[in-house]
Amino acid sequence: MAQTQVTIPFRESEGPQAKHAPARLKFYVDVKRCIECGGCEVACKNENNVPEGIARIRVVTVNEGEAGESNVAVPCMHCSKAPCVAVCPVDALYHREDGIVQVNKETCIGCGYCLYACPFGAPQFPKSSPFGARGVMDKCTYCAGGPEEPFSDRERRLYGSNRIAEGKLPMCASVCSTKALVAGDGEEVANVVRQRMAARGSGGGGWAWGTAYPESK
Amino acid sequence: MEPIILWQTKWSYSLHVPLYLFFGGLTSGIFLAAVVADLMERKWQGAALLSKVSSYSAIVTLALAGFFLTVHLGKPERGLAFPLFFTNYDSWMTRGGWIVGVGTLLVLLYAALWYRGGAAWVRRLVGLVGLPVLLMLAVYTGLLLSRGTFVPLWSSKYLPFLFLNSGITTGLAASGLVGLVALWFRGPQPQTAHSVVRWISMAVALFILLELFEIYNFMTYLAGSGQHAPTGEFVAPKGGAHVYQYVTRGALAPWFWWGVIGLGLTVPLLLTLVEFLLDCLTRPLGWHRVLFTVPKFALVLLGGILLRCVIVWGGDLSAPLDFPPSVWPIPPISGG
Repeated sequence: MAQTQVTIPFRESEGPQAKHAPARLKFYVDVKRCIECGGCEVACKNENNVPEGIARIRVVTVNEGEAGESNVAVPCMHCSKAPCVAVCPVDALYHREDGIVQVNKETCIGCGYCLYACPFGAPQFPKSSPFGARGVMDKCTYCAGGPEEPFSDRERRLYGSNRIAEGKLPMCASVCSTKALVAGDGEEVANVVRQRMAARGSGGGGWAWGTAYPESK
Repeated sequence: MEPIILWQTKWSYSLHVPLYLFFGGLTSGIFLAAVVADLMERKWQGAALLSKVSSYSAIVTLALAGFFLTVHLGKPERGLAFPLFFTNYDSWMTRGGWIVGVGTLLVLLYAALWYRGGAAWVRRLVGLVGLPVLLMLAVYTGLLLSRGTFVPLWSSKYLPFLFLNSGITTGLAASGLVGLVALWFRGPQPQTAHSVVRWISMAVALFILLELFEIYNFMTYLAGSGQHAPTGEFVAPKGGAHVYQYVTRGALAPWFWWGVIGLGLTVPLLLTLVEFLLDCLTRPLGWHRVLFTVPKFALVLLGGILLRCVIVWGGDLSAPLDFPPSVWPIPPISGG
């Protein structure tokens, strides 16, 4: 299959923060739009042949049954300053140039340190043999495959699909019916967030807005 | 708004990681006892023998730490080759790998010097050089967990000191036990031969008191973090209070109260009190001392294991998500 790369403008990263790539491809989860349909979970599992026991994305319900109940889909957020990358002793976790946090399953030792460093619980450690690798970490790849040759059987078997190389967005965001899960270039995602917040007025019901800006309460 | 509680399950209720942390700290304490006894050889009867058997014991406990560290990995063979694979020196696991590696060499060298005999000053010099490295091993076991900045129980402010303290307490207790066994095999001893065990027994009691004080401070800190002070770097405002409930009144409460506080710390302290009173009120206990010291040391060791279990298992409660959107991974307007 011919390899198709998404054209992503490269940004230099220098100085003490060089290890952390500049923000590029990002997710945004709009808690005001998520309806907990579970479509993203199903689409992810189907697209990447995710085995039982692994959840690369899951929908968490907050304040269930109470006023203010809200849902939030939680994939790997591909943090710019990812704590998992910082703690991984073997550098199995790393940033691609486009900001996607990827795991190299040929290097991972399966220590579980990244799981406890991650604020989102993204790293997954199945008991059986996920993707043919015993006991190593698996997580959301942003549907960008892995460090293997794009579209190869090995990449498909170890990491799942590579929609980014095909010029497509991650499957979970593509199927989200309410556009609660937004994916794409960081600046474009940020524009979507700003537009929605502006339309909703002060605070916009953003997650923990009151914590960040208590004076706006 | 309540924070989202995430339950992690990678290590939950398994013993590998608690035992790894326990034996790591234990080795530090045993090595400390060996070096101190070595230095006090002329003042304490039986100190030389205790130092010798402790130095051998440190090899066993360090090997056990390494074993449990390795078997909890998904890819143990890569962990064993850590000098080749561990390349991220920002990670405490990499630093810890080297601390364990260097510590192992020093422990082996110190034991070899005891085994082969020779100049005592060389052996003591190796012991003094190795002591900070081995004590760092105990501190490292706390620092390793403290990098989980979204886990309220793994506070970088308290865990390193608590694990260092516990490592010393359990190490002294283990040295006392192996020292007693060695003295037993050597045959009938004069009363003074047990003075080293008596010293260790008293030191264990002092470190138990210190540990109780640290645990009290730690729990008070967690309980109070609901109002003002978040525990970790990014833990939700009520994360500390949640984990405080989990440890002291939730599923971990029996392990914490009955295991760590009761059997591991309070009962040994009471046994010390009885031992001390009998020593003062009647004649010195002599060999009858083992009726108090052996169960006391054994309970201290059990408490050390249970403390690690509670801390590691409590790490399953992660409360990260109620933090300001400014730290969410949304790029600023410039996109930089």
